[in-house]
Amino acid sequence: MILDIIVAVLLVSGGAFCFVAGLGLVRMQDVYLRMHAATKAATLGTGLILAGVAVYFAEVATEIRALIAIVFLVITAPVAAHMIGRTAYKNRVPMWEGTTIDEWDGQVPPRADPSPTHSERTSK
Amino acid sequence: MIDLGLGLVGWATAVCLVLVILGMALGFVRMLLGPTLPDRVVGLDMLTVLMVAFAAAYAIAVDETAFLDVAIVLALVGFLGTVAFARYADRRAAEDEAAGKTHPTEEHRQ
Amino acid sequence: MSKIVRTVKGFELAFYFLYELVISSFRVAWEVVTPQSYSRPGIIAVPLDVRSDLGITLLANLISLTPGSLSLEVSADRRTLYVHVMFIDDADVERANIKNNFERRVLEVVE
Repeated sequence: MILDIIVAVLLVSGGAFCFVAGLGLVRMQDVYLRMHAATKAATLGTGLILAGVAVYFAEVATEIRALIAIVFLVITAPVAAHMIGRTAYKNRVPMWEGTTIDEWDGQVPPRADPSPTHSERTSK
Repeated sequence: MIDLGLGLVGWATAVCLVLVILGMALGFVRMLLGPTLPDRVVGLDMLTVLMVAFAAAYAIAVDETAFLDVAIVLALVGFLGTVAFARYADRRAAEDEAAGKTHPTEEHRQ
Repeated sequence: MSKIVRTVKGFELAFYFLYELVISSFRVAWEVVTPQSYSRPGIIAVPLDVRSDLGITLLANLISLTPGSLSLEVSADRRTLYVHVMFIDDADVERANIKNNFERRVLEVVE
């Protein structure tokens, strides 16, 4: 019974985080903020659901598989987010006008053509 | 509550599956709307992560541990897909720049 | 440093990270769910004391996995990490926060 309650709590909270991730993806203002909401809330939600699976099937083989899935997710999620974020910045995807500070500005290798810098584009 | 013979875990699984599907639908909306390629890649990345979550929750729903293997494979393949897309976007930007074209993301700017 | 101390510090880092993950997840979730927007995003440059590949990778991944902060790029000379942060009140406070918490603990474990 106690195990059932733990499983139920893990599943529902995991599902809630997955939903929040989707909501954040639609609601947030620019691609960087969307990544905050989406990548990590989805990873946390999926991790919680997998933990629920591990508790529900009380057998070692299943628990190890659930653990492997969690480890894969936790290792790959930040790498994927990092690659998308770097690509987005280097492609000069504009940032939301509410962005307060950009200390990376000017550190990106200069382009062949004299295009306006990132801050000039985002600060308008 | 109406008794469907689900029990506590059954209800929790049903709620979880519905929430994950709603999250996937919202992720799909972002993939359709864009407005830039990285936005779509973020949407795709989240969709694959939520597919892992769905496979895991479905394993409980049908009481079949084989779906966990599906979850593991999806987690790995989804990561590869995201990295490939990020590399592609990077490469395309560099090539367009070398060819002197305006950047594709500029056309979509809000 | 002995292996035992290092292992203990490793667990400490793992638990600190889990704590941070849960706290900031709720903060980001709140930001997403409530209609008002409290976010003040920006990119800050964090000077690195970590030198090894393992240390930088670990630190960058831990920062990325914490909702509200996302490491974008390490500079070519590997002395600066550019981090996108969702809630910036004061850039120096955020920088000090990352340096004093995550980086100090990573340094204790790997170097």
